[in-house]
Amino acid sequence: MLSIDSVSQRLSDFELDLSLDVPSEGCLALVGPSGSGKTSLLRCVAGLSRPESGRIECGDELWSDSEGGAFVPPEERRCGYLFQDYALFPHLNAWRNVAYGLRGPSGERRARALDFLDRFGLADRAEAKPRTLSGGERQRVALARALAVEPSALLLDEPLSALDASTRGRAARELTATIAAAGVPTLLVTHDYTEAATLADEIGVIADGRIVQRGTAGDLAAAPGSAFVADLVGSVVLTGRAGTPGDSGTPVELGGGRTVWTTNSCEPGEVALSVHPWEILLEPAGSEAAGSARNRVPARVVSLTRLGNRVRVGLDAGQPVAAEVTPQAVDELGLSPGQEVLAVWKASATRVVEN
Amino acid sequence: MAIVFLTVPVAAIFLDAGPADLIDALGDETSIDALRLSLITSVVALAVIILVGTPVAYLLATKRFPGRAIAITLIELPLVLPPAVAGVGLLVALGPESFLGGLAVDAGIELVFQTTGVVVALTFVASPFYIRQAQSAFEALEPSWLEASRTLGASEALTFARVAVPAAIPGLVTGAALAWGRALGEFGATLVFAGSFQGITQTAPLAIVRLFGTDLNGALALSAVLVAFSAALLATVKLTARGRGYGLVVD
Repeated sequence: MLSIDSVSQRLSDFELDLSLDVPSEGCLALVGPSGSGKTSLLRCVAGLSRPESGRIECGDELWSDSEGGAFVPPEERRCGYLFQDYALFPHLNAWRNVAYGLRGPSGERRARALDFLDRFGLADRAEAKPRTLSGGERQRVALARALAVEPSALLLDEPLSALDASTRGRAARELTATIAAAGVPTLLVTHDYTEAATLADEIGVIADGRIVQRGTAGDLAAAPGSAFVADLVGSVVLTGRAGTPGDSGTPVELGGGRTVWTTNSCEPGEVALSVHPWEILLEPAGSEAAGSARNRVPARVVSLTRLGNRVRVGLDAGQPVAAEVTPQAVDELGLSPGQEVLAVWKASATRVVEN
Repeated sequence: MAIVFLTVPVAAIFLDAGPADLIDALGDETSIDALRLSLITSVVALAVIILVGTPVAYLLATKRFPGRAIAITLIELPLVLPPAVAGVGLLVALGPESFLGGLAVDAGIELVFQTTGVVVALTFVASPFYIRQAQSAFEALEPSWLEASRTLGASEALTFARVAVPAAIPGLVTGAALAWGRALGEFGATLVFAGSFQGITQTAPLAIVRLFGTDLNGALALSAVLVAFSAALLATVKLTARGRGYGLVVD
């Protein structure tokens, strides 16, 4: 377990001050706008900067404690740190980058580095210098380098944001598998909620150096604690399996007998979809299709959260879904937790975020 | 006009006497001694500058500490100091009468009017050329490269040796070439501090002045060698500047 206890540090216009635990095999994503203190926290955990107060522990090792004055330098913490720009050493080729943190005879280090590159599908790029690698390849070399040292914790700073849209989907799936296989506490920071929802088990929303809400992606989408969280959480993310595209779009099987349609084109296979909560209408359960919306998904009301002049309705449709409606609509439909409804939206409002 | 003005004197050195005369004149003992001495003293000075200057430049580039701005200014001072003044300063600070000079003499090191003194003078005037260039080369490195090295288990010293120096090599080579060029052309500080004794302290520029009155061809020949060498250094600087950096291609 990685435990961060009342770590504080003065930043330019606010103070970082938070406590959190990451379970030994879990991945926690901190989501927040740029400049909210996310990277500063990662740097404190890695030992690249020193918190003014608080305690950081990893497993049974004490890394930093302002009271006892303990401070373990970064080279002894062995955090696998994935930098936002990937920070590959420009003068070393791919396998030497991966071998950098390894100890032992050079032949062994090389074999181990090549093995890691192979695991990331980069066996044929071992001799390439970073400047000749594509964005996705750089990301994988950097990951291989961070994991090759068998880190005690993984720290990922905006792991996908430097990638273009076409490589993000694949990189996200691979990264999820990599995090699971690493089996160490993983702390990920990002400004992109979708990225956090796809990669992490749990999400902490961070604003001005403090965690304002923590929960699973479903919890946050269904019951955001504040308008800030609701705006950040933004769209609903659904995952499913895309079928063969037809004239009227592509069907996506969500599981539990639910199928939705999207007008975006995508390849058959695993796919993540997003829908804005304000594009989802609610109708009484069992009502007949009356409009043009293709997607009619049975769901149960989980929560009702008032956000200014709208109400966010948390729904369980096999996967968490949220709809935003007016208070009048809540009254007219008589919505309350436990009630069965139909969530309705158009195929054209269903966007494919990764495939 | 400007280009003609700048190139005519250089060309004239090669054109005034024929190539045969120049090569002939180089056989002169004064010239041979001077070139050998220049080569030895400038290489030793350059080695000292690189060994001491590289870590200093790295600290100036990566650390923030009180007095850093003053330290940088002091290091750059020899750049604007008239060389003769530098020589006088060295003589007063390190001469046998001075405290430091006394310590050196006690340790068996003679500086004034000795070859060692030439090395000291060259190091003094040429080091800012290297340190400034090295500092900006280190400042241009991505901080995340150095931090990545730390998280991968390398200490600060190891990070310096295995990441900072190799990644900054083009800038360091440029700085070394500039410092070497400056050391080879050094005249004033050497003359004042070390004198002009053939084979001991008479470097090529000092020998040129000595030969000038008696053997113009000899002076021209030495000048031609220095010009050729400086041109080669300048070409090195230009070439490393062109191939500089490992800037990542954004795609």
